[in-house]
Amino acid sequence: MNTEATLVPDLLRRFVATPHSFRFCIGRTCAKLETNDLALASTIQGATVCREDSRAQGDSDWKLIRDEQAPCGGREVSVLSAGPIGTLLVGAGTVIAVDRERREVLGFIAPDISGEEFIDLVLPLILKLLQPQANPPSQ
Amino acid sequence: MLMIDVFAHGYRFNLHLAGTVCEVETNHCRLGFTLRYWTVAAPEGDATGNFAMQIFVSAGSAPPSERPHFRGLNHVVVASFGHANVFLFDLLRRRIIAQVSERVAGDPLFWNERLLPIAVGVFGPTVGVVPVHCACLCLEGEGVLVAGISGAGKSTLSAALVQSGFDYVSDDWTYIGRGDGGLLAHGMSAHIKLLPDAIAHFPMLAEHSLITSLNGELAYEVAADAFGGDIFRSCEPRRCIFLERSSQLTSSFAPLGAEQMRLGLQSSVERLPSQLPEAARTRSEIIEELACLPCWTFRYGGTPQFAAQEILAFVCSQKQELTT
Repeated sequence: MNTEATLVPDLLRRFVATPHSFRFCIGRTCAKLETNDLALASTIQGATVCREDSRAQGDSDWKLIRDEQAPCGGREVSVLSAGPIGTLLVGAGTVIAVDRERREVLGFIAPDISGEEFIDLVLPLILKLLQPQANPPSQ
Repeated sequence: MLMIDVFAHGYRFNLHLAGTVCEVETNHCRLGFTLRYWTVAAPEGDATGNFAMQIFVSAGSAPPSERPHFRGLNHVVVASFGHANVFLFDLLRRRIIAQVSERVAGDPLFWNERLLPIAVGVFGPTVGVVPVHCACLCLEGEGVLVAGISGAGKSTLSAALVQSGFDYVSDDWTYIGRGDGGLLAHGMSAHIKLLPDAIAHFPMLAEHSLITSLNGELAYEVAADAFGGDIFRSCEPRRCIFLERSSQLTSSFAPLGAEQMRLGLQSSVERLPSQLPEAARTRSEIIEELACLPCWTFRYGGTPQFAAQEILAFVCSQKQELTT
């Protein structure tokens, strides 16, 4: 606490501007993507079907931040999922949360994950996490 | 690829954390023992909010990484302490899902000093608690919040105040919520973090080792009761003191207005995403109440022990004024 008014740091990087936005479809998933990374946006546009029409029911909202401050290294993949929400970790610094109920994909991409690697490695995992979860086994 | 579906588990218990109740569900029989300091039989009446934590413990001895990786967007925050120890905070549903290694599940220091304070800080106003960057000490049941910019000496002064007869609630982050009789200040850590140069004022630190703290700094982390006072989990905040260092070996107190106090509090809290309007409202209300506390700027030079004596004398005189 400080009596001098100061700009509070955005430690979680919640408020990074995402000026690049477009709609796309891949398989049966349609989404609106917002990102701060023009190169990543171009790569995703190149690998998916562009859709300019208005939002349809069932569309998901994606926000992907190219996170220059994230740690690099490793390609270990971990998926943690419970109820309507799941998270995907790739390497040391890529973190993506998927809210199936709200149809939201919220993630940070480490600097060492190229656009191509995102398409080949990360995107299929996000699509899988977005699918409705099977009922848990009876306890 | 490690893929874990965290379903319901066999073990359930409640934790009482900074006035909130956390309902824990886990597959690990010993996690309840690790968290026993916080366990309550049933939710207490003064709880301001609830959240749930589902923890899947997997076999393995992976320690938590020293520097966690935190990121958040909208209503979701992820804290990763390496791939084996991951926490996902869902602020809308007030729920944590986590997987941890068996080693972390049995490590009370990790939970008490790192994860649980982080959890309360992350959920914050969504469960009716505002994390404020200040220390809290308690004299005869009355809390004194001690604030100041980084480097103003909050922690060293906290240790000196405990030596002077205050009881300890917190030295760095204090969690303000509402109780039956008004505001309550809660502490989440029983340890005071002191930088290496504090040894000049506290020779007893020579008996302790420097460790790497959560923000990467080398520091002593010493149980507050080692300085002589008791550790309280919470107290009613009655006063607030803002520290300002001076090169002069003198001290002075000057009243601080509610508006300045409000601005100081608002400028130190994290921005909230638009998905959490109720939390923003709760936080504003608590800050408004906090700003009404009597508040002073304390300008001082010299040792923390000197400053502590000055504060002790000031607080005693304030209490006496109120009783006469």
